[in-house]
Amino acid sequence: MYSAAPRIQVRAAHGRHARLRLLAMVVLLALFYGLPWIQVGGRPLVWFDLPGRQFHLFGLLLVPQDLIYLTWLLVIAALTLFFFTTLAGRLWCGYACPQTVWTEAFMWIEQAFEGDRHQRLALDRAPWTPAKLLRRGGKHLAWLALGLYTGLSFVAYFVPARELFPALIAGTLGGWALFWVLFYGFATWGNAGFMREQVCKYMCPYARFQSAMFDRDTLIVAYDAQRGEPRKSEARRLGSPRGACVDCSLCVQVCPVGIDIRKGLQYECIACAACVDACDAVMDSVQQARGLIRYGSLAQQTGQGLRLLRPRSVGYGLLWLLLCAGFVVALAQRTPLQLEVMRDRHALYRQLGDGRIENLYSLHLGSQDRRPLRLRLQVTAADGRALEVDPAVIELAPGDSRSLAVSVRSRDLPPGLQSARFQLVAEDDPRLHIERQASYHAGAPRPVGDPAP
Amino acid sequence: MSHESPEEAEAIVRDAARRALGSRSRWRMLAAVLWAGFLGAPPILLLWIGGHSLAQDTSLGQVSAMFFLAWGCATVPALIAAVIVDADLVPSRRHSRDEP
Repeated sequence: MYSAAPRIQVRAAHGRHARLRLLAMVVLLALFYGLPWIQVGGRPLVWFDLPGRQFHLFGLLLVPQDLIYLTWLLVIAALTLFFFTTLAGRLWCGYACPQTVWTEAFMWIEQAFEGDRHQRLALDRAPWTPAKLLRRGGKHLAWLALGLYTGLSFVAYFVPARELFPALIAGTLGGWALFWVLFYGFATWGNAGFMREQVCKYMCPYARFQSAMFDRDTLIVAYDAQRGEPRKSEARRLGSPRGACVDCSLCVQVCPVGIDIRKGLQYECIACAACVDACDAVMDSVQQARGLIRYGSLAQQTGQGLRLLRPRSVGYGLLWLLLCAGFVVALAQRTPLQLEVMRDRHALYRQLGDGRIENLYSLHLGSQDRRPLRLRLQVTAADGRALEVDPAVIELAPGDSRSLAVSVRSRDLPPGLQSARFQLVAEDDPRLHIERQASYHAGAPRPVGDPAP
Repeated sequence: MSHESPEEAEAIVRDAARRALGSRSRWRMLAAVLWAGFLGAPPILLLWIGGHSLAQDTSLGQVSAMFFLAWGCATVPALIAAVIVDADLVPSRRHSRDEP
């Protein structure tokens, strides 16, 4: 029998939604733990090199100047969340949120050490014995190990895993890296082991603003009160024919946030559908139709049909498609080269001993190409004449970004200020080029009668 | 499959609602503010990375310090929202409530 426990002792649910949740957990955890180990071309597939100011994302090299792409990705991610929430409620919360995924993993460990719900409730009530100490201690050790490995994997997104793990074993891990391993590890332990549904119910802001995305056609986990009421016990008391609900309380026992879905839609519900699985199993056992608790919309409950295509979902969907298409086009047209040209502010120009005119520039160069580049710098005057450039060849490492002083010289150009075209071309790949316009001062007009130098 | 008494459902719901932060409104508010700030910090950090402050060489320690600063900044709007939502946090109102 139930008695107050320090945490909700959730009964394991079995069914198609539980299998789906397990699949989501396995895939997402495998991605999280596995991605830092995958290397392409000698570099991690995903690596946020903050000190180096480079972000390696699935073969794409982004630098701080590419922040627009990262921001774009964040906006797409947010819109994806809005779109799916409008369509099918809190899918993210129930299946993909890290809090849910790690809580599932921690509950699986808990069950392995302490048994099913009844055994855990009994263990909660039992006095401290060596057996209880062993079970509890083993569980916490396993939780801590998983938490710390999670912390290590998290840090491996910022420090390559193939450097991080050997450094940890050798005891040469940097102070800050160690701090983040412990911080993230203990946060995982605390959130998934102890806080659990508290994070979803009281701390997560998403649970608060999701209601703004719901409408009458959003799919939610709902109890069919018309079919289920009056419940077995109530019907017995009233002496009336009973509804389909046998009042077994299994839907509440399997709920990870400890709510009774039969009381209607509640903000705590994370739409994991564990209650759907539990209820379907009971309906099977009493030979009634499944679906007393099911995914359905409020509109469906009032006899209307399911409307997936509606202004809100279409609007989110179109915006999402536009942003995704824009992102792909922008990435395809992106030149992995950066060039900024600034004139030397100290002198407009300088006349050399041999009569040539020299202008000085400061070039800021950057490469987001994954290869080392050998670039040729060409400068042409407004009339198409090539000007002398020093240095004419520049080498850039992948992700390199630096400033460079460049001298541009001309002879016999019409005096005065004119435009010049700076072009940077990769020697082994002419398609890789970038150009900028800047001004070039070809000297002051010579006084009348002054012989040419 | 064991079926249990209907009172069990009520007991679970009642205890779940009372558990931990459920019965501690101040701690609940503090936890919500800190968590909202924690979730808000990475986007702020991303924006800073694009700014001038990271244009020079940066150590992991500096990035970590920036993260905590971003976390602190992100808690400000969450704190304001919390104060607006929870009238009990406003001293003058609390004082007036205490009066007969």
